[in-house]
Amino acid sequence: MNKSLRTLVLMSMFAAMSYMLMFTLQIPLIPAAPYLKYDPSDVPTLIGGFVLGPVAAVVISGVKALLYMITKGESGPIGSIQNFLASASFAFTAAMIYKKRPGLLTAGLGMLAGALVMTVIMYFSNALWALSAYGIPKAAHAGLLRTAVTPFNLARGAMSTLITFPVFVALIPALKKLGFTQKNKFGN
Amino acid sequence: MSIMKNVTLGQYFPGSSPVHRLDPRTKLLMAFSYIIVLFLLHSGAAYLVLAVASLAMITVSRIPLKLVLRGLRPIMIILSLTLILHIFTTHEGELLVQFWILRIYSGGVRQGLLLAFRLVLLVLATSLLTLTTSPIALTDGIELLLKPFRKLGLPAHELAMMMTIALRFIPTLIEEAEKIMKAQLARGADFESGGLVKRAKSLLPLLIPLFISAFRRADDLAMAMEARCYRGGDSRTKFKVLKLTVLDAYAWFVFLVVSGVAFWVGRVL
Repeated sequence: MNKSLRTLVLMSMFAAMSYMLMFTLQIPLIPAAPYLKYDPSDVPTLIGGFVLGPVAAVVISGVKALLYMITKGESGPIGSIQNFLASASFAFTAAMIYKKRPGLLTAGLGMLAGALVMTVIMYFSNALWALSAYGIPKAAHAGLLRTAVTPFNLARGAMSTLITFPVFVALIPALKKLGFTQKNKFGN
Repeated sequence: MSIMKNVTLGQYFPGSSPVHRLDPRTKLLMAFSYIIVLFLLHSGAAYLVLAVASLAMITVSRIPLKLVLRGLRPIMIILSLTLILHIFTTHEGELLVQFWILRIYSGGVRQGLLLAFRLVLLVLATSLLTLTTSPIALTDGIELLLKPFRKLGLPAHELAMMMTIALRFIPTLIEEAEKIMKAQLARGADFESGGLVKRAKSLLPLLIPLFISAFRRADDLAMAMEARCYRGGDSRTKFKVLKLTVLDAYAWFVFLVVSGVAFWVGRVL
């Protein structure tokens, strides 16, 4: 079968799942910022990155963010761009590390590193433009970044890692059987 | 089971008003330009001009105002956050109220109201875009708008194709997820109680079958597409061809006039 076509369709499926999961189980993680809600939408992006590579992870995040923009578009494009930056940096880093030497260890470590990269990127993105775009006064930026944004992203990364890891382990046999992987990609 | 009920795909409100009939490219570009104009301006009077224009557009589009205002609900928290933080932390202008350690200045109230107003205008415009344009039309519009960037390596057609496939399969996946949930509930699963870790764990028996079924669907679809000789963007024809009309020119004219007036008002007042 045409490999690039299958990759394209698979990326669409991961994006569809990610989009769907955005609205299923939203839980506020940090009491200080109830508007920051956790949702498991990073799980398909991460797994997509493991199966199809780091670039695919970015594409999946992009498709998801665009879908979010054209269907919900709640906080308008601000939320959409933020969403893309967060999940793309998370999944890209994780997939990049995993790709070096595919295995469960690199998958786990990759996700932890990805969570950190996402936290850093979201810190700067919020500090540089997003909080101002929402109209939050400059004086309150530092406080919000420290008490809401950073802990939230760390918690979000940890939660997603916690959920993705067992899901990915459980999926390996299925992925092999369906032939969605190259030979010996899973190093076990 | 109720955790699935919030998933609605888009908020398109079908109609045949002039706003509905505009080319999606026009609407996308206009929403984009509107946001730029909004962020360039910083004056209550100018925002008022934009608010009047937005209300006029909502009237023309014949979308119930209630529906548009519902789009504001998700930003209520951040809206009040903006307002409250400004009122209590921006210390400009004259002192209005002082009690205990809290001091409220006129500048803070003004800034808070102004920026909250800007956020409302932003959300109204983007809601109007998604209310009057179907997700598929918007996807088409995005594809055509991104086409010039193909030379830079941006796969415009593939991106739109992926969005279309995803849009097609989101309802299917939701249905699938509901089915799996019911099956797991029948086996004694509990999705809605317990702490964070327990709830995260309870997602596993839902996610794993969901992924497997999505893989299978992807395989079937790729096979079906290949059997129909799908081969990317070039030389593909469209069922619905987008055409710019006089209406689009008129819309741009109105847009330019309104932004001009807003800038002028912002300068003068």
